[in-house]
Amino acid sequence: MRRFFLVLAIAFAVAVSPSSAQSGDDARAVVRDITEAMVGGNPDVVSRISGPQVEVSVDGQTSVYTKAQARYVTGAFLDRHPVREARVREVNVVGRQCTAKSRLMGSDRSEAWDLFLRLRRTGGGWELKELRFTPVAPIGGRQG
Amino acid sequence: MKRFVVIAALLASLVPSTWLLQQITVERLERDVTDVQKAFSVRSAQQIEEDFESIRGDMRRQAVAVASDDDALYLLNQDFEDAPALATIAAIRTFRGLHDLGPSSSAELFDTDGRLVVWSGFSVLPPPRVWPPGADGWVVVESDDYRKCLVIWYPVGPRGFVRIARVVQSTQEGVDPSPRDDLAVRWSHLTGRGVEVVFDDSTVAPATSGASVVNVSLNNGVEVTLGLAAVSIPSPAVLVREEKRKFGDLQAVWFGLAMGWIFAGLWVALNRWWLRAPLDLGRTATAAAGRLALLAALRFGFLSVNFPGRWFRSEQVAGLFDPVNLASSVAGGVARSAGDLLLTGVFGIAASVAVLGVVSRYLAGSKNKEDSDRGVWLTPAASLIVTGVVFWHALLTRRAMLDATLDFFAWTGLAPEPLVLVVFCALLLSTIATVLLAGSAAALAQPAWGASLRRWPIAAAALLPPIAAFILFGQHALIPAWLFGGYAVVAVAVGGLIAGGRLVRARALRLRPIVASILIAATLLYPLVYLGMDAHRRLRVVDVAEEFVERSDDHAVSNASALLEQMASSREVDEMLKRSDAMIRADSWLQFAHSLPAVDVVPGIVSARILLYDVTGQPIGGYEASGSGVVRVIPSGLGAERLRASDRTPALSFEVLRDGRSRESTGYAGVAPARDSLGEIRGWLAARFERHRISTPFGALFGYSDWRRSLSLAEFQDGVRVRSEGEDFERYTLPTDVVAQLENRDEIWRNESVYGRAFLTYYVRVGSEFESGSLERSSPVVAVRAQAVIPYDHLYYLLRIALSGLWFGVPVYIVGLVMRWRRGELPAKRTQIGDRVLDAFMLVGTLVVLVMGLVGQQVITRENEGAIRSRLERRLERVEDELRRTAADSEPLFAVQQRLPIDSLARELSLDLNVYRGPWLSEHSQMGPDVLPLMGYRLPPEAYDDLFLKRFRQSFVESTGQYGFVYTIGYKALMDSAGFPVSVVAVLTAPEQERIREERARTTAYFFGALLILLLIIMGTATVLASALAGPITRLRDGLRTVAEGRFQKPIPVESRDEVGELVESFNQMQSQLAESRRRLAQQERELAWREMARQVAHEIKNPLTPMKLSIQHLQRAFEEGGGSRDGEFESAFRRITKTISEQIETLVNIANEFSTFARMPKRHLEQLDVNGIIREAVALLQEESASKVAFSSDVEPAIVEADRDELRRVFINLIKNGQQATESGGTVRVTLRAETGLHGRPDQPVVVVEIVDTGSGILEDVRDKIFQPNFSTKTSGMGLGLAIAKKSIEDVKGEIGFATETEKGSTFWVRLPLVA
Repeated sequence: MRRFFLVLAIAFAVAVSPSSAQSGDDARAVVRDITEAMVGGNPDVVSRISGPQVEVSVDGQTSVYTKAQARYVTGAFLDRHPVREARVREVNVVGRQCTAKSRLMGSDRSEAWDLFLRLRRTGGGWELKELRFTPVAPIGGRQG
Repeated sequence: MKRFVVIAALLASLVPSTWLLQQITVERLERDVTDVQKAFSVRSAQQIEEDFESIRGDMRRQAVAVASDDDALYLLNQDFEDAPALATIAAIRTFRGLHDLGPSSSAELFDTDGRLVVWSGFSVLPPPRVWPPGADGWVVVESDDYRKCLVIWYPVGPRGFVRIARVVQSTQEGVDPSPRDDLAVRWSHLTGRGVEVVFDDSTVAPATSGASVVNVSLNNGVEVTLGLAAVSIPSPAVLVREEKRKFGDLQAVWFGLAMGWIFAGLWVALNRWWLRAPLDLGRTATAAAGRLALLAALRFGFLSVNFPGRWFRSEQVAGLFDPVNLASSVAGGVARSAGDLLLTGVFGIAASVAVLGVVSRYLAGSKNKEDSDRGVWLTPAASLIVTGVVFWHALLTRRAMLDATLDFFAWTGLAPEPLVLVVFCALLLSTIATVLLAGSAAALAQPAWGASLRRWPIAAAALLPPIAAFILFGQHALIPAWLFGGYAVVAVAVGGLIAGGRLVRARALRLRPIVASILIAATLLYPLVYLGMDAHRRLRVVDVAEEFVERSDDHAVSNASALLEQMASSREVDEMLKRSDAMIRADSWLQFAHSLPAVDVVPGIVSARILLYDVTGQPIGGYEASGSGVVRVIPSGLGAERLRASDRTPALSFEVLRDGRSRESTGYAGVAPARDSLGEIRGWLAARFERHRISTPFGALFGYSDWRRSLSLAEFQDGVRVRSEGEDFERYTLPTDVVAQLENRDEIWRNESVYGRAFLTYYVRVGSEFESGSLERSSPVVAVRAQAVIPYDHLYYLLRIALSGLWFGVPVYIVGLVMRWRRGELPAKRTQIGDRVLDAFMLVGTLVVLVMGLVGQQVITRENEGAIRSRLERRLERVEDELRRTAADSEPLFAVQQRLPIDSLARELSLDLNVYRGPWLSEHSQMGPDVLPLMGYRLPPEAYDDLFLKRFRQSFVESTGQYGFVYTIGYKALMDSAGFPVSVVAVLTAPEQERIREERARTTAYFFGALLILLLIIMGTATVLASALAGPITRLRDGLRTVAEGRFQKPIPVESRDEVGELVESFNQMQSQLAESRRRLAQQERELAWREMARQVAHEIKNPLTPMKLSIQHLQRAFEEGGGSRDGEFESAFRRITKTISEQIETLVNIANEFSTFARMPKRHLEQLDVNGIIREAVALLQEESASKVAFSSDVEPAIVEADRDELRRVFINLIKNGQQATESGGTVRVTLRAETGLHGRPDQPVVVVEIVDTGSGILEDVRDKIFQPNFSTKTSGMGLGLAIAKKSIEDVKGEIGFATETEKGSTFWVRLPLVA
């Protein structure tokens, strides 16, 4: 019985102990979740992970939205530009800040975006603070 | 029924049918997708080519028109040898009128020496670099960093050229011309696809049609390529998606039609069911709930197919259905866009009117019914409904405010932005719907209120819903209790109107009820709107505080790292690394620095240091950019060490320099690998950005939003300020009460006033355990101060919301007009004076307010323009002073200006400077992106006219900047010794002007707020005055009406002392006289009738009585003559009976005589006689007959009157006899006689007054009016004619008779007879 409680205590300690080493991994997981949600055109992840307010930039227009509005704004963007494929390119954690970039490939193969994400670590985990869709290369016709 | 089902089934079946058709079409599309793509390519290319050809055609036509213009040729033929610039202002204006091409085009006429002669249109192109330009040449010219123009040169005779230019590329939002003029945008709309247009020769690829794009050459018509348009070809997936969307739209139409049809059918069926049986409460409630449910189903049905938002793209209809402006997830998306919110408001009104109709009908039908079925439980039920709808409305308003990016409280004048207007209208509709629904519930429960309140369990149950709601939503403070109370009171008042049947639809659609409804709704709505906006603001303040706690700016971190990566992957860095000789020229860095919008991208950063390292970590070079925009190149090997190996990582690394160079600064630094096109690392780029507290002119132009910049922040350590941002934290220590409050709480919000300015300040205790909530008392405190909303602001916002209501109020009023017209109520047959007075006041008040508003606004505008101009004058004087200070002896100012570097002059004066020579810009200081388009490459014609032609020393010209903001630019001429302007210095103080204009907007808003109060006062006064004026007149009218109907009412109370009061008094007198006349007339009529009747009765009675009497006498005589009967008994009986018959006949004769006397008095013999004697005779006669005593006393001896002796005696006998009968046995009737004056309006007439006073029980109140009427008597005997005869007798001798009586004390009858002189 004593061994049982010991194992239980160790398991509990491991489970609840805060680990700053894991925070980067946590951030990557969150970034991955958001990125993958873009493929399904599912904007609910935005309202789930966002704080009370989130900054969204689409089509060159940047605004601070509540998470409810951000969900619709992101949804409208994904509706206009369905994403075929997405991958996380970079995650950079600085203190409680995390900036990340993902590449989104549109269903229309001529479209691609860089998705810049900014997250902040709070008591409850990572909170999405900014979401920025930036068109990647020119549509065509340029050299180099 | 059958037809309904068939049509419903038909419509419903169209949905799956369309789906099947879609499947077939998509399958076919997937099979022929290549052909579709090809067709698209051909069509798009054709559309773009045709449009470009059309643009070029327009420009060429314009050029030809100028070339053939007589004015142009005349101007070119003038001799302009002495002037550096040539045209007169009149010529400029004429030219502008002839060749106005719109905001995105210009026409300029040059002579053959390249001098500008005359011009028209915008000013974005510099002077031509190459001269002569060549004939009929098409070129694309770069205007500035943001715009490119398509230009055509065209010869104008032998002496000149015309240059027609049109913006074809514009990337800066808000600058005129806007990106709408951008060809890429134009063609994207044209083709429905993303289009990119490039005009840069180096990047233009040959026209091809690849897999994903079709390239369209933009040539000048002779195979010279000017640019390239690349249209993205939709992929198969996109084509399929769009095809499906088309069918989806069609399905939505069928669905909507089917839903509408079914809705209409169910609505009719519900109404039939409701009206089938007598109305009762259960059926009424079910019908109301059914109507609500049907409308809710319709609304959510529309939402499910995104109807009608699916047909509007985001930018269409001013973004009405664009979630970028507003989108909330509340209640399944009823407010997922501004348009949807408006539709929800309309549905809310429809639902409330539907419920109101049901309730009104029920209440009207149950007026005479007992209210037993409206049990006391109705009050709690109504409370539940009122609470539900009010809280729902509060929630909707709160989410609409929070989930929007619209600036609801912008200082944009009285008319809000279109989308803000839509939201305000929607919320006003929701407010009215809420009040009507809550009012309907209150109306149903109204009869039960009293009973409910007397039973405490019911009363407690009625309080339960609001209490539960406040507990449930308390933490979100959706609606404060006082405001909920306000809604409840208005609902109860409306409920009263509904229950009283006074909320009639047609009447409610008149002007004043509509205006009143809008004002009440706006007053109810505004607190909710404000609370929502306040919640929004507080969220943002908390966010800013958190960023400040971190001593870093989230945006700066994000943007700086993005910028670093952008720089590392730039073409310039790639090329510099390729040289590998570590000898990069300074101009490469300058070019690189110029290409980076560093200050623009990284908010608040005022200095940057960029270093480039090769692959081994050796520094190649770098540059520094200070806050003032000055770039200093760092030569290779100087000022930089080798990059540490630990920093040479394949991924970008970035960090916040928490301990910057000083405590007041924050830094950001990072290293990014620079890769070549193959992805190989060729070097590293290191950047360090630092933000200082130093305020520079540039700092105000870039970085934070206006709102963020308006905040002031400070950090306090142990109560002492250690750092701050902004200007509003004057304190060096925390207030002691704040410290005390923060002992127990982590955060507080306080309203504070500093130097008379009101602020909302947020204090939060922070520390390393910021999230955990376990803070130490020594933790630092961060404070954020935002401008508070003051009462005048509230007034202004309220006014804006109320004015928004007019947008639906006016259409509703027009609908009301039509309804009234169709009912024949218009034109009104009658008007009410109160309405006319009120309408007149409303009109006059509105006109006064409008005139005052317009005049006031003009005054405010002029004063502000004056302030701007005077500040510009001071700046221009400073420029002149600085030049004068620097000038050598007798050196002209224009020469000083020419030798001084413009940047150093600008830095010295902290101003943006432009210098013109002739009409052209010759040099300018480093300016922000939005300054150059404002100042322009060319002098505006007005400034040119003032300075060159009129020879003024300075000129002030307005220019339109971003988002239509108008700036004033000051121009000062620097003249030569002959007084001719050699140079012109231009100064723009944009931030200052923005502040002044903002102040003006605020002042104007306050001014209009004050005018609103004035208008309300006028309306209130008008209402009171109209009521005061119309009230007595209305009562007078009602009085006249009743008099006309033959009814007399009590006198109208006189409430005013003016003419109306006099009128009322006159009316009262007239009514009194009329009533008396009418009474007398009626009495006379009655008397006449009675006389006639009495005469008939006397006649009819007397006729048989005489023969009866004679017969009895004959019978008696016969009995006597016949010796009579010997039978003693018979004789006795005979004599007794005949005697009785004789007596009765005599009685009948007396009665008949009495009638006869009443009907026809004996002929009156008037004589002068002493009343004393008459009364004494009567007293003597009656004294013996009655047990009551009669006491007589006289003060007038003799009292001579003219009358008939017998008649007068009868009168007094009658009166004294009545007194004796009223007085108990042993009592005394007193008869007095005295002299007075005044009779029948003749005050000098001497009269004798006889009073007969008894001590009886008095005359009952209800018979007093009938005392002198014939046939009225309180006695059991007599005909009731005595007093009527007495009255007639007295009045016939011009006397008066009357009485005074007091219950249980007795009566006094008086007779007034005129004395004979």
